[in-house]
Order: sequence, then C-alpha cells, then structure tokens
Amino acid sequence: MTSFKDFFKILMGQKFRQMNFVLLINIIAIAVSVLWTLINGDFNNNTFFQVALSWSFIVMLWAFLRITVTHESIYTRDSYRLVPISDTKFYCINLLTSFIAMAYVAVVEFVIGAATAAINWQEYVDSFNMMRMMYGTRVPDAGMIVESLLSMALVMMVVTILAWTTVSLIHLLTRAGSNFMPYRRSRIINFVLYVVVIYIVLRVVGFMMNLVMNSTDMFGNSSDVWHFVLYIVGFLVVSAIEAVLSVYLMNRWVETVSES
Amino acid sequence: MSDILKVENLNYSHRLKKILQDVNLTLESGKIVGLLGENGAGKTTLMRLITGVAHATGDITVAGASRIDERKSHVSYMDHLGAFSLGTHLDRIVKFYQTVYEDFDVDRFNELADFLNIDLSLKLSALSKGNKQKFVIALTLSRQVELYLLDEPFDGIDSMSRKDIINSIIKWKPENATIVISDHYVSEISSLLDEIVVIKDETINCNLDADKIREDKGMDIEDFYESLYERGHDND
Repeated sequence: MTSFKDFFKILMGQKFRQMNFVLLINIIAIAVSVLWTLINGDFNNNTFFQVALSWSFIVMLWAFLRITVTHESIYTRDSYRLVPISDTKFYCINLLTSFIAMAYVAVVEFVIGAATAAINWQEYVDSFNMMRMMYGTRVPDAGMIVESLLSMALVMMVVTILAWTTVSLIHLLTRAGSNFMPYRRSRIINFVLYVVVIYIVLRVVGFMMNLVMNSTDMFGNSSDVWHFVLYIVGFLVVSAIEAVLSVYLMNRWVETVSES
Repeated sequence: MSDILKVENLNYSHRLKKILQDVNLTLESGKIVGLLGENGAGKTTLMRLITGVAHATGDITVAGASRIDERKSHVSYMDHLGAFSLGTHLDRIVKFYQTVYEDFDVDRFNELADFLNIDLSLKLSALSKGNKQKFVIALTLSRQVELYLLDEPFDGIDSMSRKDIINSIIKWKPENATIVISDHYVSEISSLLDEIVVIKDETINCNLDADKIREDKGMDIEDFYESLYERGHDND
C-alpha cells in the first residue's frame, strides 16, 4: 500500500510546479507593468506596490482556478486512482496539498506585497500617523489592523476549504449520477444533471450555513471572539460533512475516465 | 497453483445499459490468459472492475484481497497516462511510479526500457503510438505483483513493435504471476496463451485451457474463437 507521505509528495510536487508557473508569470507581469509605467513617465515610489497589489488579486484567482481544475481531475484519472491507497487518505491528501499550494501562493503574494511596500514604507507610516492625529480613535491602531488581517486570512482559508469540498461534492455527485443516465442525448442530460446537482448542493449547503449562523447567534452574545470561532468551526463542520459524502461516492459510485 | 483471481456474480450496467451480467471467473497463478471478445464486449470494463476504478455488484478477490485499496496493490493495470500533460518527460513518469508503487522495480524497468528501446529523456508528446504503448507496458510489467492486466497492448501498433512487446511479456513474466491480455485479434497472441476467456453476450462464454482446445477439439485458438461467432450467426 502507498504511504501517506509518498502520495502527498507526488500531489504536492505537481501542485507546487503549477503554482511556481503562476508565480513566474506574476513576476513577469509586474516587471512589464512597472516598465510600462516607467516608459509612460508615471513612475513614482508607489508604483511597485500599486502594481504588485493590483496583480495579486488576479494571480490569487488564477491560482485558485488552476488548483481546482487539477484537484478535481485527480479524482477521475486512472494514474491516480490506481494507486493503492484508501479513498479517505486519497481525498484528505488531495485537499491538504491543494490547501498548502494555495497558502504558498498567498504567502509569496504577501511577501511580494510587503517587499514592494517597504520601498515607500516611511511614507505609509507617516500617512497612517497623520490620519490617527486627524481622526483619533476612529482610525484603528496597528494592533487592530493586524488582528483584522489575521481574522480575514483565517476566514479566507476556511472559505477556500469549503469551496473545494463543495465543488468536489458537486463534481462527484454529477459523475456518479451520469452512470444512471441513458447514452442518448447524454450531453443535454448531463447539462441538466449538472444544473440540478449544483442547485441542490448549494441549497443544502446554504441551509446548513444558515443553521450554523443561527446556532452561533444563540451563543454569540458572550463575546465577538467566541462568536467568530463558532462560525469558523461551523464552516469546517459543513466541509467535513461534504468530505464524508464525497469519500462515500468515490468508494461506491465514481468511476475514472476510461482512457483506452 | 493457487487461485489468483476470483470473480463471483458480477453485474455491471453503465448509463442504463447492461455491460456484464452474472460473470463468474477463477484464474490460477502462473498463467498467461487471453481475454477475448468483440469490440465493446466488456473486456476493458472487466479489467477496470478488477482494478477497482469502476464499480459493480458482486465479489472480486485478487490474491485473497477483496477491499478495493488492497486489491490495487496486487494488480498492475495498463495506465494510459491520461493524467500527464504531453510535455511531461518520461523519466518524471518513471519517478511517479517509483514513488507511488512500493513494488515498482527500477532495475527491471531499466532493463525493459533498454530491451524496448525507450528513450527516457523524451517527452510524452514525442512518442509515437507504438512507443507510447511500449513505455506503458514497461511501466506495467515493472511492478512486482501477482496479476497483470494488459488491455489491448497491440492496439494500433506495427508488427515489429508487436514482436518486441510479445517478447518482453515472455521474458519478464514473473513465474508465479498471471498475465491477462485482452485483444480482439487472436492471431497475435494465440501462441502465448495458456488459457482463454471469451466474453460474449455480456457474460463469460467460455474459459478453456489452450492446450485442451488444440488437443481435444483439434483446432487452433483462432479457429476456435471464430467458431464461437459462426455458431452465433447460424443461430441468428
């Protein structure tokens, strides 16, 4: 049987290579944009940070889509599904490696952002202090900003996991469902099936999210932190339920794409 | 000899169409078995069910293992490498096999690659159909398992490559392992076979010893196989 470590190494390597390509394109795009600004005569100390920041959103979205495509194709390819490893481990490793690959891109984007901001750091600090002097406590202090950024990062992480478990569930349900559809007009039927499955899954997930939010509201009076933690745990519980259903589908119904 | 594969009461439908019905099959270790049948008879499906990449009702046991993940560690099936982009170098694919299959024998692979003249520095896109098939077979036979499933290994390749592949099967078959070769052109593989299994009318039509066909029926395997279809046509 294949070990967790070996299968992890394979999937991680593949996703790392993909993300390195995305980041390479990102750096080229930043360089070209800065050069263009320089040629146009609009270059100033803020240029690097502004360009890096504006590209980072596109890069994060591209990275997410690229990982999602790979993440889903792994479930239906013989090369991966022939590997002697349990479906639960298979699912967990696929999710974990996708998450690490995405986190890697986020960290590199943060470093690029921080490095480009450092060029003009003193000016940003001065502007911030000026705003504090003018508006006082209405402007949050540095500690609060860091806290908000960390909370946002945590929410993004949990939402990313939830997005992948939901997409996988929709994908695997559709593949399993298509086994029971007739050959004739299968494209139309597959399309209808996709729409129906997406609708049902999103409704069920929406219902569960409401349930989580309502129940956390009940406990939420004590403190905002406790409320926030409950939300996060609730999202993770929904993800876990989706993961269990997906593993069940892999084990019983989902077939690979026949390549012969 | 012990039973290496046991299939009991296997039923499989796909998209509301019955593909295999009430399939029962037992294969012993150490044999080369021809899995024969027309195009679309269900040969590939049966192999996919044995490996566990498709699901059916019924029981499949390989080398005593019935759980899908355990079964996979006893079966080496021809992976057509669809997960790899055309720009992937062959040595990277070998590395993949080496990492995920603890039974993958690199020395054996290198010998097979030499024998079949495979240049590992090439990309997948640079391989002809025949060379890709040779590469896939080298990967499949380099695992040390009890059951090898070769799905139409001669499909669309020239006669010289066929000879190379047949020779590699004979040369590198582990003594106690069973190799199942599916094909619809019997003449290519008949000399190799110890046993034949014919899939016809969604089930196992016959499972016979190759020598018995030659001795008892006085026919070579190709004629016997064709006679199964002639009888079918007469009945029609």
